[in-house]
Amino acid sequence: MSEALLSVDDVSLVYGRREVVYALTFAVAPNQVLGIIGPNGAGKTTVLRAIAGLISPAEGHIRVRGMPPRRAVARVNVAYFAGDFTLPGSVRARHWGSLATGNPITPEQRRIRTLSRGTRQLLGLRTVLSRPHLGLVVLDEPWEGLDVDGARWLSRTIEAKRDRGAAVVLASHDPSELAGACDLYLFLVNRRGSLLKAHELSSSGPVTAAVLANVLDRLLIDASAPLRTAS
Amino acid sequence: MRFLYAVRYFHVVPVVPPLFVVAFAIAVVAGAMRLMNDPSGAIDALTPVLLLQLFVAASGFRFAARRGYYDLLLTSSTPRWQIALAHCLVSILPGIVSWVCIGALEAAASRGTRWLSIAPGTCAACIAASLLAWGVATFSSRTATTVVWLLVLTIPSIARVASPVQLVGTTWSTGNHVMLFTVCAGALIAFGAAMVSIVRGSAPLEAAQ
Repeated sequence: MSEALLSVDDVSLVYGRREVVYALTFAVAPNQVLGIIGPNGAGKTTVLRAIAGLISPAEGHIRVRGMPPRRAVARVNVAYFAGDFTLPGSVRARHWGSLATGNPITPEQRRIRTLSRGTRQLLGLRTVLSRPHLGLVVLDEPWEGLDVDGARWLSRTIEAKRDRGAAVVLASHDPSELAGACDLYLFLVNRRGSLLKAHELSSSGPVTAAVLANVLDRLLIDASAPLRTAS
Repeated sequence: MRFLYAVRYFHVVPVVPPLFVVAFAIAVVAGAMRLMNDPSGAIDALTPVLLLQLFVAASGFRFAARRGYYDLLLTSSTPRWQIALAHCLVSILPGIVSWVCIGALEAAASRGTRWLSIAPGTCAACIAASLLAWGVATFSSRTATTVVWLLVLTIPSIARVASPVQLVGTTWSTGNHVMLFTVCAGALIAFGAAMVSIVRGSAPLEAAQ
């Protein structure tokens, strides 16, 4: 494996006063895709925002090409998108679409709030992914709300960005969205992360949604098991 | 270039709602009419502009950042201090432009004999009110800041020492130096704290967790 573009070392993250993630460690190299899977509220969004430099870890270090994320964004082109609800509704789609590169990615003149959810999601994704020479792609629930064509476009674009050397981090609560799309899988359950490589999950062929769902179920059951008392 | 990108971003993602810009235009037109009738009425013309500025410049950086509206900008190569500066500039610009307009109108109406619009107290009031409003609102929403301003402006004991409106038109000789110092120092502290908060602070998503 080549040197990691993104490294997360013993990171703990807090949201308000609540510890969301504890002692998280993983690394993603260029040309690799990491999928973060976890139930709602597991801390996936918080982890992604920390990777994008929007949140500072309470403990531990995050490095992008050896630099803290906030410094790294000046050197490494980053595509980060947290979902259609982060787009300001009063802005016209055409104007928003031109913010990444200066060139409009859509002729659509309507305000964002008047677009359908899938169109908003696609607008947000296309805007951030239009940045040239991406080194790091960080997408939160990217398939949410997309139709078949949109989902196919997204999958192809993610593959293309990865093949051009980007490290990709995706998060989803739905294992079927990430099945077969990632080289590494990070399961976030009960504040802890469990990192598994794709070939460890399935030695024969691509990782299926059923395999990912099984692992997630097992981790959830382990996390909810009552503590045993010594006899 | 990066600073200009930030300015353009805040132009596309409006920091000042269009309705407020219209309000400034109305205040300037009303001020122009007042000055045409009475060239010494600059204080009356400037007071609505200053009051508007207290509310308009309170644009609430963090509130929008926590909704994810600035994610695209915050993950670009633009340094955070330039983002903060651009946000401040775009937030206070309509009020500053209105102030300059009133000043030009006063000079024109009085044929250059009256300059209350650029008296030291007026300058301090306009700049301090702009920075104070922007700085305080960085830590809260526009609504919360509006409540604070209403209290400052309407409670006489607080207004006497902290209301920037009281400074309009005062000169060094006639001015209340304590209030001048209080307002300017408060503005600088609020501006500095807001800059540090934007540069070093986190922007967790409201919808997350």
